[in-house]
Amino acid sequence: MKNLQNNPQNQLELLKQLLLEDELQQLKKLASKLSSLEIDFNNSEVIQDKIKPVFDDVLLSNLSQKDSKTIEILASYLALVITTSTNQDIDKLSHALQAVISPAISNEIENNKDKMIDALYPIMGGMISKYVTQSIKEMMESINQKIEDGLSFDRYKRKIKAKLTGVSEVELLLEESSDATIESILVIHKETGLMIAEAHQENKELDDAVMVASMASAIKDFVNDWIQSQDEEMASEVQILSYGNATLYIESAGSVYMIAFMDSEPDYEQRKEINQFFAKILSKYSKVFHAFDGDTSDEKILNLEKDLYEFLQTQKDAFTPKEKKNSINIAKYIFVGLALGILGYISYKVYDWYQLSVVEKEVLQKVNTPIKLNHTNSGIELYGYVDSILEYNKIETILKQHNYTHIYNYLHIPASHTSHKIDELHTKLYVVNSKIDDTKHMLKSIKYMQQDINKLQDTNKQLLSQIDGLYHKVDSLNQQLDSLKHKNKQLSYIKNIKKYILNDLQMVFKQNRYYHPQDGSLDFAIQNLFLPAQTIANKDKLNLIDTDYRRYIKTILSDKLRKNVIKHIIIEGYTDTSGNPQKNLILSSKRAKYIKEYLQNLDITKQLGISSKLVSKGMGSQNPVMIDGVEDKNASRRIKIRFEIDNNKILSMIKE
Amino acid sequence: MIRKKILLIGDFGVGKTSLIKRYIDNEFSDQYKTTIGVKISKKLLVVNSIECELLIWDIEGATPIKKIPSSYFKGASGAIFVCDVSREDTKQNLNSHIENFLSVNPSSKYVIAYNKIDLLSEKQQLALEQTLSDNDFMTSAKSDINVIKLFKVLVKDMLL
Repeated sequence: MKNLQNNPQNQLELLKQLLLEDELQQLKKLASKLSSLEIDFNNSEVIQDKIKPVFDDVLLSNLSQKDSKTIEILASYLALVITTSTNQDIDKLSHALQAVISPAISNEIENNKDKMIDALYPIMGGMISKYVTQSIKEMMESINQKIEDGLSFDRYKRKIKAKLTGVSEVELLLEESSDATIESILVIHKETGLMIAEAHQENKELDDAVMVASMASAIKDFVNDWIQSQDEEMASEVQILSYGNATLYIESAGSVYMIAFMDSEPDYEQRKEINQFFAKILSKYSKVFHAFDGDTSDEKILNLEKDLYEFLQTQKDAFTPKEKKNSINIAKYIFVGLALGILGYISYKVYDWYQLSVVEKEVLQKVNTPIKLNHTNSGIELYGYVDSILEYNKIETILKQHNYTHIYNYLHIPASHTSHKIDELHTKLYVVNSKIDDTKHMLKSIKYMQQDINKLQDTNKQLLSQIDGLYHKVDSLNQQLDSLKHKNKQLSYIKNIKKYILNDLQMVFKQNRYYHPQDGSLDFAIQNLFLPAQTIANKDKLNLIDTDYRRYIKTILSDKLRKNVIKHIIIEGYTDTSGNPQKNLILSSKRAKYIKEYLQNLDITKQLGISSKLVSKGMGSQNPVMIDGVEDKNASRRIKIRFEIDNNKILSMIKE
Repeated sequence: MIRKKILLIGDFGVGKTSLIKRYIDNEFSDQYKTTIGVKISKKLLVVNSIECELLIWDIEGATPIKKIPSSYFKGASGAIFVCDVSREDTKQNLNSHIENFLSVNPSSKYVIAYNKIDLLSEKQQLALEQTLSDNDFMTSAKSDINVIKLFKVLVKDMLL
């Protein structure tokens, strides 16, 4: 210490230590901090850790203020980032973007639907159009392929029509398959919904056309009302109602409308036809329609029904031309047969020509002589020039090798080579040469030939006339065959007429509780049709008989033949089992007679002219109506309608 | 044969459908009534030797939610207005139904059915009877009271 104190330098240092102790401490700390900072400055990770939060804050602040410079810088890098990511891991990028983009698109569609549709329409519209077009094209190609694969006369007919009209086969096929059948037509009063007239195809009768008309009217009104309340500007009416295979085509005008019940939707042509027909009846019956008050017995309404039936018939003929089809079938077979015949003939000729040319070539090669061959019905003819009989012999050998045995020689052979061998030649070899010396012999031969030819011509004429006769016989036999077939068909119908009538009745009355399929009768076991001991029926119940009776006679008398062979329509009257059997028989006869007279007075009986066919018969208390072993007396007092066939008439018709 | 359209009109539950069921020969399913607001039934009858085919439109009572097309009313030759004698409100609504109907068909005929009469005591029935006019009927579909008469009187009136 003394040494230190003695030295002035040391003293100064000591003084510094004493006076600047705190400062020196701070200086040391600063030095250490500086040294630490130097180390951090050289370490990039540390610097990034320090600076990153600051950058994040600045970036967020700039983005929230939509700073254009920041967005511009980021935009260029964003594109680079997406490109790089796409190259590196496209799936990862897709997943990342999907999470953001899908909700964004959903949100945009929900909030700006119209805008999105406008934006997407040019793409989506085109795309949908493209795919629909492609699908239709594929469908058309598929149908075309099917058509190509199919082999039928109709196909060729369609093909020719397509070529002539320029309409594609597919369109023609679709058009052919789109014909709808009109099963029923109803004319309905617009205001009341009441049916004015009806017409139906055979076996296509509506169960209760009157009610169907009213219900259809209600449905139409309901739909019209609903549509017009939805769109007040819309004044048009419903025109098509469809359900499953059933389509109701409705045409409305003035005070009526017409419903056509069809099995599928009508095409433009059919609608046009229906509308034209509707316009026709509108102008013809407009007064009837205007004055309609529910009375359907007016004669004009019956005429209207006739018109409706005629229209249905024309429609049926137009869309199911059975006879026409048959004639087409015959024409088809003739056409095919003719085509095959022509084809066969051409093939035969070509084959023959080919065979002859092969032989001609062979002759040229082997004999060195050009000849011409002609094939006739009787054999082969030779034309040309040869130098010697020897050459002819060679030619004959070649022909025989090819199975030509009947040879007619028209070759020109020099006479010098023929004089000594002429008699050895084939009997049918004729030498034509002006230089032949033996003209007498030639003339004789020609004379014989001429005679032969004349004989042959006579035979030919006879044969031709025989063939003509045979043709006539075949024609006459064909006609007889057709007539026999027709008669056979008629005979079969007459023989089984009862069966046919029962079949038709079964179709019409299959759901009718009064119908008995065993004997084709209608047994009206209606409660209290007749009160006990009464011979006059309860008038309210007569309506039930009335409706079924109309359908019954329309069915059993549907054609002339049936009208001819049905001898009687028998109305049988019954009583219950109470009382005296004798009295019951009389009572039942009176009941039957009452109903017979009631039915005779109906318009339909008069129109059909069958009043005389109606006969009544009392059956007493036979076959009472039993329910669980107990007689239902109210139902036993009933009537039954059945038909009777005139077997003698059938026998005489068969004999005829 | 004459065809006529008649309507059955009245509030819900007054027994229109039951009255028809008592009377008719043929009908469409009840389902139509709930679908398009109307069910059509048919009855054949002979009045004064005239064969008549009645098409009876059973129209559902209108509600604020379900509107009945006014066209259902058109062309009806007659109507039966039905109320339930045990529900006063259905009787009070009769006038409004009749006015609606006559506004579309001013010259049509109508009768009124005071239905479910079987729910009233004899005394109540007598009291009600005093208030009725010629074309008003006390009916009961359940007990088959006056059902046929109701329709017959209306049809006779219509055919006059």
